Amino acid sequence: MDVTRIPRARLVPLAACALLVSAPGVLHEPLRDAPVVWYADDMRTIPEPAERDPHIIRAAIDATLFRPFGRFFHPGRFVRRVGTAFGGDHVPAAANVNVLDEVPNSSWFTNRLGLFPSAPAVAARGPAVGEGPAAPWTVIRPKTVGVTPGFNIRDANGQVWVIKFDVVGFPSMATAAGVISGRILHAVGYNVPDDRVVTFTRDQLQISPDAEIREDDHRRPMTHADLDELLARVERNPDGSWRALASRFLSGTLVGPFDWRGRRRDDPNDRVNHEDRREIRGLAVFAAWLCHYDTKQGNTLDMYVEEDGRRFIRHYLIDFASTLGAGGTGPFPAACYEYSFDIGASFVRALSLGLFEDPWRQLERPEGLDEIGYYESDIFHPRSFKSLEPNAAFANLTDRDGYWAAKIISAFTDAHLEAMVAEGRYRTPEAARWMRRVLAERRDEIVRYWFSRVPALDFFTYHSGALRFHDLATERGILDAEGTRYRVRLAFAAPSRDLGPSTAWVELERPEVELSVSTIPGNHQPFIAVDVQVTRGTRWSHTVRVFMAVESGRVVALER
Amino acid sequence: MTLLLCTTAGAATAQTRDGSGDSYWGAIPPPADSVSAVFASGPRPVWETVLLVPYWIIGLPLRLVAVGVGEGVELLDGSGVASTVAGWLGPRTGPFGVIISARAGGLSGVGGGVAVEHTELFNRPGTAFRGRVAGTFIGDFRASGAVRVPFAERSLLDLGTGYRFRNRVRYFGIGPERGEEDESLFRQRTWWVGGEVTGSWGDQITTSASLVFTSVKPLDAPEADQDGDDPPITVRYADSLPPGFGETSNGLALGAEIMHQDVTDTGRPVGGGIRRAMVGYFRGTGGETTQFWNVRGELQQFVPLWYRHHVLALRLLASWMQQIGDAPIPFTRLITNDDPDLLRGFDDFRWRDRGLAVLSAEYRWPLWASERAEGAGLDLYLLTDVGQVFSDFDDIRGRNLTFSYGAGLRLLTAAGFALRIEYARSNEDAVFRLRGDQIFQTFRSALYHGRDPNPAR
Repeated sequence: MDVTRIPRARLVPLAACALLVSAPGVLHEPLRDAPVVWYADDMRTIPEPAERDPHIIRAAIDATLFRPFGRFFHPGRFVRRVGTAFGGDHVPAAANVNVLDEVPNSSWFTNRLGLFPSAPAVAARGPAVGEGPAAPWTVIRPKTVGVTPGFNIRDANGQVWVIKFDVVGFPSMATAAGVISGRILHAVGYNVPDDRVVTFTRDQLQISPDAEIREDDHRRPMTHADLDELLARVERNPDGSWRALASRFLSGTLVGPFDWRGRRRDDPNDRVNHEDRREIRGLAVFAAWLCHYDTKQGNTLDMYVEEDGRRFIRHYLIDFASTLGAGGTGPFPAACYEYSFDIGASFVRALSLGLFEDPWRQLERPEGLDEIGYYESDIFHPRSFKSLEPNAAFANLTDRDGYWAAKIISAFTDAHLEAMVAEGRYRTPEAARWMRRVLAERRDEIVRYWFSRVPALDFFTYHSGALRFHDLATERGILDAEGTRYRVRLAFAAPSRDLGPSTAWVELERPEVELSVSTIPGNHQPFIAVDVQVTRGTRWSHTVRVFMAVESGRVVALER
Repeated sequence: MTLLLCTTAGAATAQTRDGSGDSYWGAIPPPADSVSAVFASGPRPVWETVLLVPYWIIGLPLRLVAVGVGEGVELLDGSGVASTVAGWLGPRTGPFGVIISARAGGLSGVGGGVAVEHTELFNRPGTAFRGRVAGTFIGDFRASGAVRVPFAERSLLDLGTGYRFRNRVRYFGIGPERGEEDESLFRQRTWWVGGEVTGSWGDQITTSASLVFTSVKPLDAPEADQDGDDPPITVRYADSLPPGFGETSNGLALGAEIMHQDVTDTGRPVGGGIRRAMVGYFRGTGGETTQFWNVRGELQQFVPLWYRHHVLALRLLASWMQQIGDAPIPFTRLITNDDPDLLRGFDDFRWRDRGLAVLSAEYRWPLWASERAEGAGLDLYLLTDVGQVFSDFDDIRGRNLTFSYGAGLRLLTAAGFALRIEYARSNEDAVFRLRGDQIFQTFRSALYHGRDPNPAR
């Protein structure tokens, strides 16, 4: 757009909008030659909070109707949305990132595969400690209502586990998905329970005298007949054993789920609105990858824990049975493509007079693979994902948040995926192969998409007079290195981030810059700004700006 | 001068439990104050706060509604009301079920009803009872009860009785050429008792025979309507009251029907259809000498279109009454455009005569589905009806045919069709309807389901 041709009268409101909108996004902290913050100080001892127990239907109505309505008419979002035309974001930037645009470790998230190289077998182990539940198992609490029954057990070591089964007619589907997704999300960095696929026989079960079963309006002791009846309602292996997902009880005191929006008022450590936490926003990208559509509040959990003498809340994601095309009530094709009540999609269908059909309606499950649900890569698009309920945090996903998540996903190699899928213990190798292939294809789609929106130049480090960085798109095999070129320019930067005159752009053969302050024009300042761009053969990308401290050689800030 | 800076890479160590280790950024040290910080959401910019003031004020009612809805939901759930009602409305898990119905629009106005059903009376599967009560705010009322007893193999005996009072029945005169200006009002009271035997021949063919006693009495419109725009029948037609007005028509109707049906899904049928042929004989009782035959043919076909669950539903029906002897057929027994033989876009009872021919078409497509495409959801449809009453086959000609069009929503549950909301227009009128029944796939076994036992249906 040629700005000089716009009448001045029109420029005024446009400029005002741009100023308004971009202001929050560009208000960076002053530069400091100090160590990078890698830990959020959110594990201080707090008094034990009361248990949150949001009503599931009320929360669903709120998430589906009132909150989206509020977002739609929110004037701040509207102004910022206008501002996206000027390079701003539709929401304020994530509030819990460090100067390198990374998420520090916290009670919510621990950097794992995204920042640390890890062997596939190690990454796939997830939070698992020791072996699975040891026999004999004592049933301490049955779950007889709902689509699929289950029970809680205490194993021979005194550990309590939740035992869940597959939906009848869909063997292995939900149990495999639950374990695989849990391991993947753990490798990403989230807190998840120790879930495993287990197989057991009837003779390794016993019933606690305290186990009760609800019958009409009263409770009575559970009997072996009750247990037999319960087991008769779930999928059984051909050899007479049962396959299930065993989920180890989380340590600590349960204090309810966390909300996707706002903060927990009784937790002084909880100072960032959840919808502004990058790892919570970025979960939208991981959820799209895994088709993790049931992201209601009830599938999160806050535990009041004691670690290293401190008592605080650790935040968990739980229950991944409704992922990878599986579902708690069996698979269905609309999952991940539509909200359970999708006004927008319905409106489009009404206007189209039925002359358009949603691609998901044409989805079929893979023939001959009864362990696989509606999980595919043919019509998948990284931005088409929708959870069952609109999610306040997902609605705040920005390009930088999406890039951060995609960067982590790109760290999952095919070997990692193979190891993760193996944890799901599919009955047939064909099912495992299918799952590995689709996971990889969706991974590539996601990474390709987000790396096209934000240049994947990352992990800047300084060694021996040279600033090295990684072009993740080529390093991780998403894009061909051929035709890729980089260019760089340098400038002195004041602590306020004001820049002096820049050098001319200089093209690089490799992602490495030989730094020489003598070539930088202008007055000497304590920091250097290094602007880097990449081209894949067409045009130069947006700039990634790295600030370095001249004195210490630290990379002290990064702007995308 | 080349920068000579210290390297940031630390010793290569595996990631530890506390999150430190040798990362792609270099060494991440163990937790310490120097590498820890409190993160917090920043304050809202001033410009946004200013903008939010009117937003908060204007949005206050919505927030109150949200709180009210939320509290209401919790109250209903906590008190057990929601689960009890959901249990009634959900898929039946036992022999006993409750069906709530609602209606709005048309001549009967806003109302609702409830039906109860038990399908294992005396612990005999298939032996059933169905009771139904419904009413509207303008005074319409209906009640019916029936029992169903299976016998022999694949045969059913239905015994039922019912009563219906309609407070705003229309009379425009008889024939296809009566105008809107001929409209008048009366009331009608009907009761019936009878039995029907149904036999199934294979999966698709059923035959039935019925014997029903009916009593129909037209009454003048209430005093309150004497000065309204729609005058009572005794005012508009003071000099030419229709045959049978002021008298009770009692009689026995004997009917026989054969039906071929290769569609069973009442929600989103994607193929197949229904073919019905019926013949009936009516004879007045208690001194009434009216006699007539009636015949009726009906074809329904569901034509799958370009996408799954996109369907063209077609319904063609023709019905005829043949008077026997000199006694005229009471006007209350003539065929009229009332449920389910609607000419949508016109008021019920807009036309009456001895014959009726109607072609209805609905183009349906899915609008919303809860999880599964086949499951609960909403379908949208465009509709058109073409047809007319007649007393002579020559009456069925272009200038006499009525045409109406419109659109509607079908609410579907896992159990099938549940509700329709539709709006239809004609050159005369626009009619909105909310109904728990449909003009396609109407229930057979009228006695059991408490439908008016008009012999022509």
